Amino acid sequence: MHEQPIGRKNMHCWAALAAIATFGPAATAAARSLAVPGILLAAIEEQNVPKTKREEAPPPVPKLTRPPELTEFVSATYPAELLASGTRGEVVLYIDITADGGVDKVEVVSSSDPAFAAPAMSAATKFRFIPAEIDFKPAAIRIEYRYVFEPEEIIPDAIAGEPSILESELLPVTFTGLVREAGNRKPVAAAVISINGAPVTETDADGRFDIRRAPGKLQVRVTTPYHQTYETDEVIGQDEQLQAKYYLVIKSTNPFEVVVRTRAERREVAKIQLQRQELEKVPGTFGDPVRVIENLPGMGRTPGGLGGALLVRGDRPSSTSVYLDGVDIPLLYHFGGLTSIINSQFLESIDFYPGGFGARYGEATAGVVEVHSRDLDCNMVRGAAKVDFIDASAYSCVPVGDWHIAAAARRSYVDLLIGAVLNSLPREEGEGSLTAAPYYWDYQIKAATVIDDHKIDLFAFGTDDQFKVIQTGSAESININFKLHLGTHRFLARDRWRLRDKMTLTSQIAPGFQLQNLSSEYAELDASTEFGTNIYTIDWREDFTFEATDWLTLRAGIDHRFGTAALNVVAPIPTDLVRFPRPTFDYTNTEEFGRDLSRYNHAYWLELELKPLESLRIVPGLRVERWDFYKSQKLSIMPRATVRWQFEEDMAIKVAYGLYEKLPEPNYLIDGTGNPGLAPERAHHFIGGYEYKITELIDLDLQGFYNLRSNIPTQSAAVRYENGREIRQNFDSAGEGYTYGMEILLRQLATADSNFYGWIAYTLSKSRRRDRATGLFQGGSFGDEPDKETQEYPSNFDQTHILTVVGQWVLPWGLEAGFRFRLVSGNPYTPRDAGIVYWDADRDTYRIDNSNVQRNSERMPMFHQLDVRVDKTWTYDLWKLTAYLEIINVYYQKNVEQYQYSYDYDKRVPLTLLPILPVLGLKGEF
Amino acid sequence: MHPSSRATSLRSLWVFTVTFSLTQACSDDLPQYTHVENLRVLAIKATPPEVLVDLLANPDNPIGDISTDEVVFEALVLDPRGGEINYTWSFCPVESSTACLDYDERRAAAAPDIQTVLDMLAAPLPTKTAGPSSQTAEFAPTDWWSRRGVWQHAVLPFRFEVNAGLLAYFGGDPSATQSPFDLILGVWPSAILEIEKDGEEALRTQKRINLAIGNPKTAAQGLAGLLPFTVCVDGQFVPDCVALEDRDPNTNPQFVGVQVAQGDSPLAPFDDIEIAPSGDVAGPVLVTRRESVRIKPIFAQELEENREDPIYRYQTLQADIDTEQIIVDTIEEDVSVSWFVSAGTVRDKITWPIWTKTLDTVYTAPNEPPEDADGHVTIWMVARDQRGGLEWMAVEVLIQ
Repeated sequence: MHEQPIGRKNMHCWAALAAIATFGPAATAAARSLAVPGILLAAIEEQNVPKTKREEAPPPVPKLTRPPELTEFVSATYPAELLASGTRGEVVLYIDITADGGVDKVEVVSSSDPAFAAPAMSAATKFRFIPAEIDFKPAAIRIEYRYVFEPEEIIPDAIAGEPSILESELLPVTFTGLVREAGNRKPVAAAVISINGAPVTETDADGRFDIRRAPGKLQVRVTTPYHQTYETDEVIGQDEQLQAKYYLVIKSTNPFEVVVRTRAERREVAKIQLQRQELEKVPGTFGDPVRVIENLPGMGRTPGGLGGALLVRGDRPSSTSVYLDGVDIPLLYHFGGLTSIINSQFLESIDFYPGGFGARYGEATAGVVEVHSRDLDCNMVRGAAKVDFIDASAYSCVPVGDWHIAAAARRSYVDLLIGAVLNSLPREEGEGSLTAAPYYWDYQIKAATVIDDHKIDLFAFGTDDQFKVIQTGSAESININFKLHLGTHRFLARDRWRLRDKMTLTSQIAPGFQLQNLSSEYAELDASTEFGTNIYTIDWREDFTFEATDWLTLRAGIDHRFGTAALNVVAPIPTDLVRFPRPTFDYTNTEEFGRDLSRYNHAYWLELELKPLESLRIVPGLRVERWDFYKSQKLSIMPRATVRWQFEEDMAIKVAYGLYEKLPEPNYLIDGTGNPGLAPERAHHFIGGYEYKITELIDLDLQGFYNLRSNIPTQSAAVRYENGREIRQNFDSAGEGYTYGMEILLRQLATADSNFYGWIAYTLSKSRRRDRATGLFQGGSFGDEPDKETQEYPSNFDQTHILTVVGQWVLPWGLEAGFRFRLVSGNPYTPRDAGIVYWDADRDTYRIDNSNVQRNSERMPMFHQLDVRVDKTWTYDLWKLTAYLEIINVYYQKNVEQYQYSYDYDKRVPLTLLPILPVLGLKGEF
Repeated sequence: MHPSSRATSLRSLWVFTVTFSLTQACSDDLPQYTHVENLRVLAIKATPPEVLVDLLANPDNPIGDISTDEVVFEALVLDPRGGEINYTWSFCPVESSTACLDYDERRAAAAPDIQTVLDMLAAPLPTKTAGPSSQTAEFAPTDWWSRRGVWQHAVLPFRFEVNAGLLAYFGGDPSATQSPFDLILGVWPSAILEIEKDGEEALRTQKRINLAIGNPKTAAQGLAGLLPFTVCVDGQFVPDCVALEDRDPNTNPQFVGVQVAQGDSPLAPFDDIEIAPSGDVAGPVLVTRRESVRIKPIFAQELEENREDPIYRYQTLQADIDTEQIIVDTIEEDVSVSWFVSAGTVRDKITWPIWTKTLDTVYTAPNEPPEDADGHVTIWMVARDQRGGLEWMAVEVLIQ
């Protein structure tokens, strides 16, 4: 441990406070020699240095993966007159660092005395850096640098009784210390240690300091721009060495403290990126960052109150794909929307593409959600635990040699609570019981290391959802054991290899297992039903990026997916060739059969990012995909392109077009229930947009879109003949649809120096569908013939107006508060009493003939709801505790989710869900 | 990941969760199916419920015989509010699962000469009026709860000349791939009853009958080429032939009476069988207010002497999922009972052993005796044998 030189003129590199705060422990090494900035002010645009203050945060990039590191410091010449007068000074500079570490430009932001400005600029121009990396590639960046002029003579003169530098250097080290941030124990670099009122030294990148002082009493003060000043008295005894640890409380528990204020330089015109820290405390999401995407433009509200369905631009949930680190995952949420399957500690950011996504993505015709996991950065043991009324989770990250290893697990306990309540109820002799037991658990284990130019991740995760309903039979009722079980387990190995400068290759392989099982048992009747599928998959991806020139970047990849599924069904399949209509279903007469299905998709994609002008970006792309599933073999060639023209520093227009195809779901493609000859579902996306950076913090993004869908499977009564045998077609590809509309996102970015963050999202759209009504819709039964003609109608998820307003404030005393307000048009529905009602004497039930009814002719009432959340954080030296209260539907709006009809459809009553729902939770972190 | 499995998972989980959530929010504000409060048709009975066609009776017509038998339809119609109704019977000569509302569409698939026949058959009978002043029936008498007086019913004569036309129609309809006739199990034309009251309330109802080939075994050779399979003939070996027996016509179930147990405990013993004195009304059963009793219907087929009666068994044709072969299965009738009350509650809408283990249910008396019925309550039981046979019976309850 060496003592920092003090009193030597102009040597204060006010080290990397913000670098640490922004990038965590991994950045501390870099921060040791770099005076990085309070905040990285946007600045990530190659060779395009802004000129005005608004322009100082130029457009933007996805993710800063390595901050710049100062390697060559040049001392500035101290203005003689000011030195003579003992005047201290400070100059704040903007330094534009090039992608090769040189200094491209220096601007003076402020100077305590004009005479300091020129020498500071001159010195800074000669600095050399290890360049910053964005998405693991060297990139230009702008930093804020504070150059401090401090004459050595001032110290003894200014503070009477303090030893001079020379005197100090003759003393042994008698006082060593370690400064950390309270609550998370992160080392605080560049904290200024003052003794008896005079700055003496500052902490190094590890938060350590050494001081040479004579024995005696000391008044110690520790200061940084971002923490509350810490003051204490110490006594150095004779022949003693004092060792101290100080924990600084951050000035606020600002959730945005670690948000890099950068705007992504978007290749895709419709992409919205959210950082984890922006998301954890959005009301109405139960603290689940992934659920925040439900509040973005283009995303519809899930009917039913739980959320969870990805209703992108009026399309079905199955038209949107979800990726985790590039790998398609089957489930994003537990129980259809309660909470996401990945612990928030593992999340880095979420990209949401409501349309117009690039050639990298397949198997989606509406939108894409990609969840990025965090790069592990635990140089010390870290952890977190969270408890609320639904589940409990724990997370820990530890360094092991050159590896960082993190693990998390979560388990819900709703089943335990329900069981305890039901078991406590009195029960009479012979009376049965009914127990509903939903529960879920998940786990994630990740290990990461860097070997030469390879960043290697090993990530295993799994989730398991079970829902059991157990009816214990009485003398009258039978024992029923109903169980829904969904599980997914995946292992993802990824190597991000920097082949050479401006060339990277990311290789991924991801085997996985998935099970779906829906079963029921009726013990006394010796009957059971089961619908089970075990799916084994393996995905292999290669993503290659090469920045060939300043104006051309090439991206290409291959995407192979193989899966095999074993389907096992035990079900009361009506094998009777003809069965007289009866009032109820006979589930005791079951049949068993199985099928083995395999699927192999392989896709190849290419994108060229062209910049013929500095302000113009053109990204043409092509994806070629081949599907082999069961008896279906299909090939798709899907061109896609985006153009973005930043015609002013703060304004841009953008357009995109893409063709998207995916194979229909398996049940549409299997003989017997489906039709192997179905064409891939298809969608054309046309998007135009305008971006305006209103202020440094506020962005406006306006988009218009038109999605044209075709080849949607729809029921068909047609038959075809093969070898003289009649085969029902079941489905054909005559379904069509379209959605058009506009989306507005007005967003105030999260920053370290702002105590407000939020956005207004508004979507105006119209979504229509054309297909054939099924026999069931017409009042018949499963298997009844559908209409012969297709009919156009509002799609089931057509929500004309979707308004979401989210706001969050950081308040004093460790408090944070936020709200979410939603106003959404009701979903269309077909009134069940609109058709002709009749009573079927053989089925003993009232039925409806809807054959002359316009489908989805009415709408549910407008939905509106306010959710609020308050967090209170207590910061202790070694850990911090957060308690939160989230209140869903604050003003108890009785939103109608559905109508329930009387047996003869003569009367109906609205069904409302989610009354006022308070959720209390605790979260501890260290 | 298997993208398709993702979609399936997402959909099934979301649909399941939402459906479960919604089903947990059922409202008690809606009228109950089992509670008779307004104009209701509780049952329509066809006697006989199944009519067989003799394929050997007319060798020149391989389609079938011309019979002169009649089928009689009766409806159990109630309205505790009293008043008159207008009712109209008609016949639906095509197979319909929508109360013949799809008649025009199905008729269009028939040949022109068949269409003429169908139109003639589908013509409704004259509309009649029923009510206290009507001479045809006393509708909703003041003591309707006791079911005394004449319950509303109507008779629809059904001439068997229709059979041949129907069978020919369905046999020749290329779109009728699932026609029961193609599978030798017959066709299901329906009687349609439309009721209108005060120009405001209207109700349309449907009851099917089964017209089947009665002698497939003995007429097997005559069926050659008409069916998608070969019927086995005695003494001849034909690979993959289907061993159909000649058929016994179905009959409606027969109520014998009811048994009553005091209280709602499933362990309480039932009293002796109470035989309905007039054949279709049992009681009165004395029940104190808010008290529960268990009521169990007894059918003729449950009696010891009838247990082996072949009329309670019938053949069906089934498809073997693995081999896609047609196989014959003999099924024993399983009767279900639907329950209705004029006051108080019944625990089950339907009792059926495969769902509820037994046929009995629990009746709970109201808090106060119904004043307008002098303390009387009627419980109606409607039995179905799952192949068209139907019967009803009432139990009179006196609330004390």
